[in-house]
Amino acid sequence: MKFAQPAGAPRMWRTADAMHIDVRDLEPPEPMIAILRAIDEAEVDTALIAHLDREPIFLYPELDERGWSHEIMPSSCASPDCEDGVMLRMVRWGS
Amino acid sequence: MSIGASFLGGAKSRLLPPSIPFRFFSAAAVFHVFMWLGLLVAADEAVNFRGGLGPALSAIHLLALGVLVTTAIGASVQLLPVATRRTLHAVWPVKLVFWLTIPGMIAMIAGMYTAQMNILIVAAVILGAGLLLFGVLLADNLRRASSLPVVGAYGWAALAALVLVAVLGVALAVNEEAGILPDHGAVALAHLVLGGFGFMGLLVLGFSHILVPMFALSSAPPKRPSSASFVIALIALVLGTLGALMSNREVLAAAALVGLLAAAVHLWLMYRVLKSGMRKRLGLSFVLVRAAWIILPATLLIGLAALYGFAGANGATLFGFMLLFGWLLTFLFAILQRVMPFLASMFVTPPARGGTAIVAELAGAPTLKLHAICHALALFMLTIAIVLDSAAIVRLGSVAGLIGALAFAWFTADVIRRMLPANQP
Repeated sequence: MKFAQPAGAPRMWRTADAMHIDVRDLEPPEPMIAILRAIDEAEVDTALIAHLDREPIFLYPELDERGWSHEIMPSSCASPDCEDGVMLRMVRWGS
Repeated sequence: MSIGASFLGGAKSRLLPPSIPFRFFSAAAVFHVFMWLGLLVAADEAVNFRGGLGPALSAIHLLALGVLVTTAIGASVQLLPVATRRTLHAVWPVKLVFWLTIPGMIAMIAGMYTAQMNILIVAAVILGAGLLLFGVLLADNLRRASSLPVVGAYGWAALAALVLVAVLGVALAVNEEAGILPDHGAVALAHLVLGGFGFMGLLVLGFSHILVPMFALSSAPPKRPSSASFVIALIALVLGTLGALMSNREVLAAAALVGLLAAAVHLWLMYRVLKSGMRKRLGLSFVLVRAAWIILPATLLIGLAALYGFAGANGATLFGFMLLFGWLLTFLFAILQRVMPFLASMFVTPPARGGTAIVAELAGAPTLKLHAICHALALFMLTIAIVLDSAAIVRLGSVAGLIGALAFAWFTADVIRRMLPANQP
C-alpha cells in the first residue's frame, strides 16, 4: 500500500512583502509539517505568513532551530474569539 | 494590551495554565517512586501474584492508577483541546478532577495495602467521582471535535473501557467482603484487559496518531489503514474481555491473535510515519518508544503462551507485568520526557529563545539517561525474577527501578524549576 500525502493540500501565494501559506482546515500535525516543508524545501526566501486555525505552539521550537523568528499578527476582527484564525509571520534571522 | 497580544492570549487559552498538567505529571512521578518502593516491600507476593488484597495489589495500582491513569489524565486535558481545537469551557473542573482522583487513589492504595474494606469503599466513591468527571470532560471535547475521526474513535472507545473497568473494579472490591462474584479471577482478568489494553492501551494507540508524527515531523497515518487498525484493536479488546469473563481459553486465544494483527497494523503505520518523517534523529525518548513497540506484541505472545501453559508457572503474572510495566510504562515515560520540556518551553517568557533552550538542554539530561538505563535493567531483572520465581531478584530489580524513578522525578522537578519566573533566561 502506498503511503499517500493527505488530500487537503496547503494553498500558497506570494505578495509584495512575503510568501503566504494557508493551512486552515488541515488536521494536526499537517499545518506544522506544511510550514516546515515550505521552509526546508527553500520555497520561501526570507518571510512567510501562515494562515492557521490556531496558534501552532509546537511549531515554535522547530522555527527557532531553523533560525526563523515568529510573531502573531493582529487578526482581522481583533477579538480573542475570532473565527478567522491566526496569522503567524515568520522571518529568517538576519534578513 | 495590543490587538496582537489580546489575540495571542485567546489562542494560547487552548493551553491550560502550566500548573494544571504539571500537577498531574508531578503526581505521576511521585507515585512512580512509591510504586517501586511498594514492589520492593511486596517482592515475595509479587513474583507470582494472581490477585487479592495486600501490598502487591497496592503496588500494581500505584502503577496502574497513580502513574498510568494520572499521566493519561494530565496529557489528555492538555493535548486534546490543542489537537481538536476545542477549548475546555473552564479550568476548575480539571482542578476538581485532580483533587478527587489523587486523594481517591491514595486512599484506595492504602485500603488495598491494609485490606481495609471501609477505606476501600470510600476511596472507590471519591476516585469514581473524579474519573466520572474526567470522563465527562473527555466526552465533551470529543463530542465537539469532528476533525480527528480516528483519534476520536480511540478516545470514545477508551472512555467506554474506563467506565467498564471502574464498574468491574468496584465489583471486585465489594466481592472481597460480600462474595458476590461467581469467579473473582475471571473478573480480575477482564479488569486487567479493559484497564491495560482498553482505557490505557486505546489512548496510547490513539494519541500515537498525533504525537509520533508531530515528533518525527511527518504526516499523520492515512485514514483507511488507521481506521482498520482501530476496528481490529476494538475486536481484540471485546474478545479479550468476553474471553476473560467466560474463562474461555479459545476466545482469549482468538483475542490475542486478533490483537497481534492490530499491533502489526499499528506498528506498520508508525514505521511508515518515522520513515517519511523530516526528523531522523529522535533521541533517547524514541529508543524507549521503539522498546515499547517491541514489548506490545511480545506481551500478546506471552499471554497466548500462558493460556496453553507454555510460559512457565508464572506465565499469567509475566503477561500482566509486560502489559503494565513493559508496554504502557515504557511508552508513557518516553512520551512524557518529550512533552514536558515542550510544554515548559511554551510558558517561558519570552517564548522564542528561552523555550528552545529548555527543550534542547533537557533532551539530553543525564537524569533521563539514568532513568532509561535503570528502567531497562528493572524490566529485565523482573522478567527473570518472574520466570525463576525469585523474590530476591524482584528486590534487586525494584531497587534499579527505584533509582530510575528518582531520576525521573528529579527531571520533572528540573522542568518545573525552569518554568518558574526567577529561573527563566
